[in-house]
Amino acid sequence: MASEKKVVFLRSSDGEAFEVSEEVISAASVTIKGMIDEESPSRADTAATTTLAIPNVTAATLSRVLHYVNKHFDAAAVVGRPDDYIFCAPGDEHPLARFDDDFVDVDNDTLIDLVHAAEYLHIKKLFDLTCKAVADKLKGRTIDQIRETFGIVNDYTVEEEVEVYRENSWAF
Amino acid sequence: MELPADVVEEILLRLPPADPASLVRAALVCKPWCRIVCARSFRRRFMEFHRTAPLLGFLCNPLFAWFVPTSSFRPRHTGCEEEVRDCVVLDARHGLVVLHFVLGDDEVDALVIWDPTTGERWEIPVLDDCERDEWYATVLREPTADGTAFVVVRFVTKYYSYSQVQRWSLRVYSSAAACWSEPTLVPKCSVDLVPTALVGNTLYFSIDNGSRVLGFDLATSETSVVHLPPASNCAIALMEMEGGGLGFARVDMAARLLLWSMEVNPNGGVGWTRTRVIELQKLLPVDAGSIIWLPWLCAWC
Repeated sequence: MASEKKVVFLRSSDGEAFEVSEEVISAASVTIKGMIDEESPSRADTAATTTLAIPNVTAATLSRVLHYVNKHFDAAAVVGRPDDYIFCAPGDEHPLARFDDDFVDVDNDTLIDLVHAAEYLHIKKLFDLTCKAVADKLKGRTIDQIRETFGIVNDYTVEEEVEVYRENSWAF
Repeated sequence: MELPADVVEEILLRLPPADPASLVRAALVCKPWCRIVCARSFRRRFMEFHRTAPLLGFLCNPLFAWFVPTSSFRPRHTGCEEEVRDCVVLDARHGLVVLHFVLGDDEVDALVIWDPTTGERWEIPVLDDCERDEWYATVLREPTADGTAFVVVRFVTKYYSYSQVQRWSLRVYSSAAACWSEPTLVPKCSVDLVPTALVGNTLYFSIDNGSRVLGFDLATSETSVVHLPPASNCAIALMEMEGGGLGFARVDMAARLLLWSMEVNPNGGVGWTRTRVIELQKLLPVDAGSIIWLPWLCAWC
């Protein structure tokens, strides 16, 4: 049985199911590993595959997340670093550095959705990667541009704003 | 889509430490972001995350300590100039600074560890059990889970006038245990009041006017003495080389900054290789006589 690859289905918030290797997704996502461990006693003797509901993630985002997870697991087989298979930092010499750069080269909404999904599914390296990508987007932007990008309402009063600008004039 | 505060914190944590202005701009986006950036816990996490403290400036001791900012950024609540008033800076490492105060008419020594990023200060008790002593101290963070513990290593020359005996020793203070270790005796030497270098587990002190180096292994408490290439009385700056070994810089009479790197032979012998020569006169209009004694530059933080 060990050589037989078990799969699980993940159902997105909008009802689409995605197939993924149980081994791959368990290694990648703490949240899903927890769900699988909870399910396992009831399905030990059955051949039925499990479908897990992922209510917080849309199909568009989930498919991207699974692309990332599969890509990184395959790379582990190539470079032989299973413990470190998801390791990568933008600009790193890692074979997947280029993949990662392209992966986060998306519009803001898509990127923020990925941050949320990585946080909810508890995929640490994807969370690191996407947070870093958002931080990179903040660089060199004015305060108004940052507010616009993230849909944030300015809650400083005019007086407060003048005061903080005056104290921090060097930063502009 | 609105970002929850914990996710915003994770994002802001990844702003580049070399650009403090980006943190200030983030703080001005809205009040919740400001609260995140201004929290002491955020500053500590920021330093741990990047494994480096933001470069605020350098400290030197023309007479008393003097803070020279190298960027226009300064933490709003720390007031670096006030913190170092009336004391001498001994060393700095891992974002912590060792300050030496002399208090009151009795001239009591006080040793303070200061974190310029968070503004925290810890006074370390100084042990005195003889009439007169001379000492030097350095600091390093202990690699613990939360990264807040630190270790102070103090080099002490004790002089007992009634017996005319002198004794040289090193003691280690652990902030986690809040106490000093038993002394480790070291060979007779005079410690130079210049910054130490940490290479792997070994802390190096410049001794005897920059002619020798005392190594202290923090794991085993073993000491070793290494001779430097001879030069007439000039101060040195010890450092860890890019390759991970010990190195030092020295200015010669022709105003050249010479970088040396320590090589360990397979048989355990130690040699020195001159790896770089920088002609300071090509960079700055300097007079060798004025810089031959490294001018009080003490610590980066």
